[in-house]
Amino acid sequence: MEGRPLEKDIEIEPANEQKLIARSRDGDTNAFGTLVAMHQEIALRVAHVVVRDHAEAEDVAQDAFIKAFAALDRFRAGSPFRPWLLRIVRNEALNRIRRRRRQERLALRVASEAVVASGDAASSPEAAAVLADEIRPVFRALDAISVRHRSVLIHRFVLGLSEEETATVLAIPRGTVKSRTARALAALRTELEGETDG
Amino acid sequence: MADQRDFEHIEQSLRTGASLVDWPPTARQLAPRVVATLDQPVARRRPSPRWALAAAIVLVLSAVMLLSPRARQAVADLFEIAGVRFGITSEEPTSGSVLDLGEAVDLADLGDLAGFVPRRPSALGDPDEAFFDDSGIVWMVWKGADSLPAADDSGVSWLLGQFVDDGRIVGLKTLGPGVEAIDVSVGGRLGFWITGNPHAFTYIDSGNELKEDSTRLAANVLLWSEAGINYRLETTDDDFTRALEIAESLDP
Repeated sequence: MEGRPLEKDIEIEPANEQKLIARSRDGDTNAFGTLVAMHQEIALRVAHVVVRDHAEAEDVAQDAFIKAFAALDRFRAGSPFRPWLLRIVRNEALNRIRRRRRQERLALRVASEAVVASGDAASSPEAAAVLADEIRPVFRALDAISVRHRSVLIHRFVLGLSEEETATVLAIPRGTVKSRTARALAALRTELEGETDG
Repeated sequence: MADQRDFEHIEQSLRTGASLVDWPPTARQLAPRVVATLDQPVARRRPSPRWALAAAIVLVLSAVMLLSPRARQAVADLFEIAGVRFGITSEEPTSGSVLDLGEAVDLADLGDLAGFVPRRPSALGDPDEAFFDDSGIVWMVWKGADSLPAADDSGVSWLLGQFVDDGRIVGLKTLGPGVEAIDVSVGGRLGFWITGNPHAFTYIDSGNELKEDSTRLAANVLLWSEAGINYRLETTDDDFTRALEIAESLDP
């Protein structure tokens, strides 16, 4: 399970998802359970990016789903559910760590310490190790850039969210996602060049 | 072109790296756990329209339960909510003309500065300005519009302050003559609607220094706490139900 690419647990048509949302809004908790199953994996990852702890990420995701259920009246019918949900997850995670804000700022490493050689990503343990060696400097550089730049790169590329989804989750305009991504990539490249020169 | 190739390579590395991250295992039991929690009577938090109507009636009732001057006096010494301690004075306070809310910042930066995610009231839309002050309070400001009265001097119609409820008292509000404190329910949580004549406000900043602030919107303030965050909504609008509507429209 660990280290594998993100995949949906349940594939569902958008129209059916909206029906599940409508039923959930009417109080059907089983319908909401299906929505949880659909989105739990990406929700856990969004939480983990912030709290960097498996058990805490699970607690965050669970609480966020419960809050989302309570907030369904404020969900605009027909709009994308996933970014709306993930914003609640991220808010919940950020609120959890606000008392250790300083540590989070310094230690939001996400992947640099967690990159592991995984059989899912390569054909052999050796190939995985080589791949990890190539990737590791990029994630190390990711640690060195600003929180704002890091957040947008993680959500766009590591979590694989669209620009629009990233905008919703980070609560910034879509145009800002675009411009900040460009600046973040430049900052990351500069960091990588410094690492190579050093 | 070299830039573009570099960026594409970095993007690809980040995407590939995602498969190497030690993500939390997907909790197969998460959905049943969420459903079981929601099915518990006390956790059933989705209000039905009927419940909402009843709540609205309760709110209206509580809004008219004005504290008598005597009761207010009795309550005042114990009266702390949302990081604000209330006191009583017989002196007429003064109000200033310039809002001093700290450093003007981009709305998008508020979360990074505050260390929590400030919530926005959908009933007001995006604020015109955002500020962060050295006591850790984030401020969102909405200026006067045709539909909203602006404060005489500041031009501000609505002001929303948010800060972490860590037990400290960051403000001292003095209730003087002609000021009423009304206990209200904000989304089911105890809150206070302070209304009437202008009332002075004194902050305790991060250095524990008293900071005089007589520049608030003066007339009407709604205070409440929710999930570890204190909220203060200030307005020139006398309409409590409008303030409540705004308070209860915060992003989830």
